[in-house]
Amino acid sequence: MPSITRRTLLGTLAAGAAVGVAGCSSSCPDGDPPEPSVLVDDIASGAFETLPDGSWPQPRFDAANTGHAPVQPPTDSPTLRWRTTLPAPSVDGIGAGASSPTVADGRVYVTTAEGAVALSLRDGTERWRHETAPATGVPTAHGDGLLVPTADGLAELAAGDGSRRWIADVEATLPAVADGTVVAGDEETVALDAASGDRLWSASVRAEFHPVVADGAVFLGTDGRLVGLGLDDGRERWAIDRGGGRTFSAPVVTPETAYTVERPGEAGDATFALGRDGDGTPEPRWCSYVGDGAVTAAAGGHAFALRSGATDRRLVTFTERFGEATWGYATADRTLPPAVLDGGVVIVTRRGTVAAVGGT
Amino acid sequence: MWPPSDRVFGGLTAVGGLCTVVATLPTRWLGPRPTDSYVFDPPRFSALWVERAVVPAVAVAAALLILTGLLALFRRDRERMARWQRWFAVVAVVGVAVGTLATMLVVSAGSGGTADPTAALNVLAGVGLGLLGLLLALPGLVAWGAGYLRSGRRRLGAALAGGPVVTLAVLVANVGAGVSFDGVGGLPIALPVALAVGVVGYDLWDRAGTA
Repeated sequence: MPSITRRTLLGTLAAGAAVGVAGCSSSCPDGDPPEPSVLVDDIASGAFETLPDGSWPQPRFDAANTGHAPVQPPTDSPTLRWRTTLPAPSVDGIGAGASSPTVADGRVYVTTAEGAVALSLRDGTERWRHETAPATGVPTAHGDGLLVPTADGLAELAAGDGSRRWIADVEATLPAVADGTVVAGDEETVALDAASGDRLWSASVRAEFHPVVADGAVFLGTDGRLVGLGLDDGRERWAIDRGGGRTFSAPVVTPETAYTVERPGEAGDATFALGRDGDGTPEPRWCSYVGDGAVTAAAGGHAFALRSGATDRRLVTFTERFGEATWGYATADRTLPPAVLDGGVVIVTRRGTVAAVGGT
Repeated sequence: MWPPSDRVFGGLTAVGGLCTVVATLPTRWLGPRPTDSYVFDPPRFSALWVERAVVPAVAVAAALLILTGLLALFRRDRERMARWQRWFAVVAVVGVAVGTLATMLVVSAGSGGTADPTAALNVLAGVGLGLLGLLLALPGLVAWGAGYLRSGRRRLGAALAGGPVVTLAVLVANVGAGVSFDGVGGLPIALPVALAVGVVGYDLWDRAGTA
């Protein structure tokens, strides 16, 4: 009898340990960082001869926060076109750093703790600088204006010369806007009428990141699940739970694929590509270990993921179907979500280095 | 009709040798194979699909057929073996059986199964049993083969004793000395085994009814 008890105890301990470890680990079987086929050389090859087409007017490309741009970014033989460094001082000893870039009408807009800066997309030269109020968020190109969250409120600057048009005492967030509905997330997820501001519905789902709207569905990365709500009524349509209380980042949503990053408690992050089939639950297509990172954009059959680990910080592009890493751009400090254009990608690091990558 | 003749077991054993080679062929020879990410549902007949669906089944078949061949060889020759050779043969067969069980456990976990606790335990148990099987099979086969060499059956003796030794030497060169077999996968390790298994199969076939 004692031996049976011991055996049972040891078996239980072994199974418990395995379950415990599995609960903290990633559900992605891939355990090696991706090795991009091409690592972009850090030597600038010169200004764009042909300016990249398209724009990246908002932090997540569109008002719905999908992160998906209908453009063809450079995929073969990408080269560094130009690089410049903006002063990105810290505020009260906290490293506020630079914002991710937005691009419109041949200009790259970046905010820092000193204000907003406009650079030429062609060669990175500075066009204007607005320094009246420290910026606190990512600029959003809006018609001929630029919405900038600042310490004083939400400001609109003229895109042409950077002069301030108005400022509103509004705490800036990153809501998603689609089909006349504004979706914002806090303790609960709320939908407002874009025209009147009236509340349309609320759902008791707490998003860890900003909401994303695509094809009538609201995608929410939460603690433990990736959730899909109906945009019209806020009812839960589907949920992906890969066990172990793993957090999912805000997804990037294309017509065929939803990309997200799974964040387990005690292990490295993993990029997931989930195949979309109508309104059904997205199915895992591929996953790749990223260590510490995020997927922030998708274009031209590629996803753009950030690796933000202590030793290996880089932007990596993955193919949509099989998750092959096609190219990467290594940076000295943390890379921010890029702006993806037709034939070009603009990358900003936290300390204010702005770089543009184009095809040969 | 039952039990089947040694000729049938000889044929099955030879197929086991062939399966050993097939299971260790580099799947990238069959086409491009994504390596940067884990693909959940690879297209049918792609290199990745072959690796996930075909190779595990072939590997288990190879292990079972090799075990079958060794059992048939032991059954055929046990009356003529010296006492010490018989005991080493038993140890070798037990070692290969344990190795077969290890193969099944590892294969049951799948290529990305370590995230699942049950599969992780299976892999752990499989690796442990594999090492145990190796410890039993290696001296068992060498001594069993040495017995055949002493009795003048040099081809069979060389296969049983030499196959595992050459395989171990290749393994040591790969892991210990860092000799790379990048382009050919597990073939350098599997080929000596497959050749030895082929010889055992041929011997069973050739001497059926005469031994």
